[in-house]
Amino acid sequence: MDSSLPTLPIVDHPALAHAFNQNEARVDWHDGSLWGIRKKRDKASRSVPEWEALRELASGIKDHALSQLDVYLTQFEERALENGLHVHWAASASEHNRIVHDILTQHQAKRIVKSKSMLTEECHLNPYLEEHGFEVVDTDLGERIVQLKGESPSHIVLPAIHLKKEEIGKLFHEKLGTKPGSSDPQYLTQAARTHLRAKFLSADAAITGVNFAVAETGGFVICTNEGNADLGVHLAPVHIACLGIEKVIPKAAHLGVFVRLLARSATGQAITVYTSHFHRPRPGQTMHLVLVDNGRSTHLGRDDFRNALKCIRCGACMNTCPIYRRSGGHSYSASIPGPIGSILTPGIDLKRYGGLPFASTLCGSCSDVCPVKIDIHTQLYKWRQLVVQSGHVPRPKRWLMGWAGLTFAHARRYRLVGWIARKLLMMLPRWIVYNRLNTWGRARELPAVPKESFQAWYSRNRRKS
Amino acid sequence: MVQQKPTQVMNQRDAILRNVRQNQPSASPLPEIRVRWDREDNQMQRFVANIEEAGGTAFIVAHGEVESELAKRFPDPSRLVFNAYEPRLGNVQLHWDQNSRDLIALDVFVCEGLLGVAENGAVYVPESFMVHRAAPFIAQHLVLILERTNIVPTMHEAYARIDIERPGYGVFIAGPSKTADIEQSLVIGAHGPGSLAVAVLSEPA
Repeated sequence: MDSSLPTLPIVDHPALAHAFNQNEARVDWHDGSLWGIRKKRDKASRSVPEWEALRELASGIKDHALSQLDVYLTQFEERALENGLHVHWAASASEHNRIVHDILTQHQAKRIVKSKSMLTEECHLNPYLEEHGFEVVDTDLGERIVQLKGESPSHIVLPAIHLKKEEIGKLFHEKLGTKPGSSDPQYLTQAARTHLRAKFLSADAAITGVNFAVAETGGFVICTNEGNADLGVHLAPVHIACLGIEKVIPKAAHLGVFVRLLARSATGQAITVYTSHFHRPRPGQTMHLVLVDNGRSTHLGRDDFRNALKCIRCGACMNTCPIYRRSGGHSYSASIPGPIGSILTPGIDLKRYGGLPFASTLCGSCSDVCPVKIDIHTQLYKWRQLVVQSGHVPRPKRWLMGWAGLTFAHARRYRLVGWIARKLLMMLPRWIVYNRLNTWGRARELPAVPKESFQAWYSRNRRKS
Repeated sequence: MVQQKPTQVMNQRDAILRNVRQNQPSASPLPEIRVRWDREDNQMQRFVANIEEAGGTAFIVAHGEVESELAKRFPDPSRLVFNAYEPRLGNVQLHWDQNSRDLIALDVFVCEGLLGVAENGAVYVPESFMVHRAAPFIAQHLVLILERTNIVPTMHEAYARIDIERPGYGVFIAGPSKTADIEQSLVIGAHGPGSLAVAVLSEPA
């Protein structure tokens, strides 16, 4: 972990989710939006008869790549250098920021345009650059919206999914001078288009992420629907592409597998509008690659959790997760929220993010939709073991789980506790049963209390053979 | 602000690679890509349907009809058209290092595609066909011209056919630019062109 970062508070997902849930109508709306995207993903995946074969392939290719990552990283670097790119290595987030800073200073760049990169979010690049006097404009519409609002993205593919068009209209009126009270998406998008065109044309440098880096060729691929990454890099004299070291895949032919899976998993589109392949800068342009570790090489060594490095950042797990849908991305307080975020972040900071693996019903839907077959729900369960073992569980929960363990460990004790519980529930008035401590009963009816345990009924009714 | 010294650079790179080598799992075999495509004979139909699904339009023309189709679609002579495919059909000529002020005025950009992909309606355009890398993105309207025989079923065939590292830059374009970032409402015309027309040539030139 980067020791130069301050110790951050523990993320309290239940409290943040509770706050989000104060507005039930809004939660239903948020839930519906995301489930709609899940349905689009389903339609797209069903239209590809070989979908499961593709998932298996993608998973296998990534498994292989991670098992020989050193070979592929050095091959990628070699090819890229031959193609005239500059290659930088950053062990940590702060190193990444410093390298980007250096490159910009070297090129006397002040005005930066940036397309979507979860890696740069992870490294908190924007605040760092702004602190050092650079202007950074996020050019993806959703990211620009949250940037203008002073928020972080709540979803890795749909950054502003938590905002209503009226709120965006109000924001654009304040920041871009659009007509007050207008919330027409077409009008607002057009306003953003005009505003961002000016930024593209005056940018000194363009920073992008990378969807896939190909070891065989030293090239990389960027997928967008808006064309903002391309407009940025083709008009600026400097292109800085930032990527985590786990993004490297062995061969160009493998792109066929991943490109077929990515957009269908993310939004239900057969492919993003633009799938751009970069190998060499245009004449006169400089291209820099920043390869970032920031805990990935350590995570690679975790047998139970290394699969999470296969992630291609499609967001399908978020779209399907009932918890994410009904608590929102901000309740995870992580650059990557949702199920995948909940298995990556504890590796970065077990104490701060130790609660996230518990923000799950372990329904397994995430694992079902993951295009690279990450065993997300299994990892959530395994992280829970580690979190409990390291003592990062609130005392009441630890006490309750300990007590439950003692009860279930002995048959006679279990039967006795069951008998007492049934008697109490039958006798006690409702207002005692549904007390403040009964969190289960807050929005649900307890099951009807049976007269006797199944064991008692069985032994009474068992036919003597 | 300290410039990264060469030894510092090597140390980061070496430290990362050392850590990777130490931690990576034992070798996992590389699977072979052997995907079956249901060999239906309707690649063209699929290609056209997918372009339309993505908000573009596709039409089949004989080579000699391209000029009249373009004139029909863009009748206004004051529109600035750069036709990289057949320059005489345009009224402006751009170069690979054209300055951006000239580029933003571009209304229509026409260029050839190298191949099309039936499963998603994408057209691959290498940089040599587009002259200026920004041209397909900065124009208000985009027209791509494709030989019918260059339509392949899936991305697998596309990557097999294309030498992806030959051009310094190449892009698969599958529709007009779009976004749904405002309350999931689809808006066509985000930062790139607001329209895409794909002309499929029914006979080679």
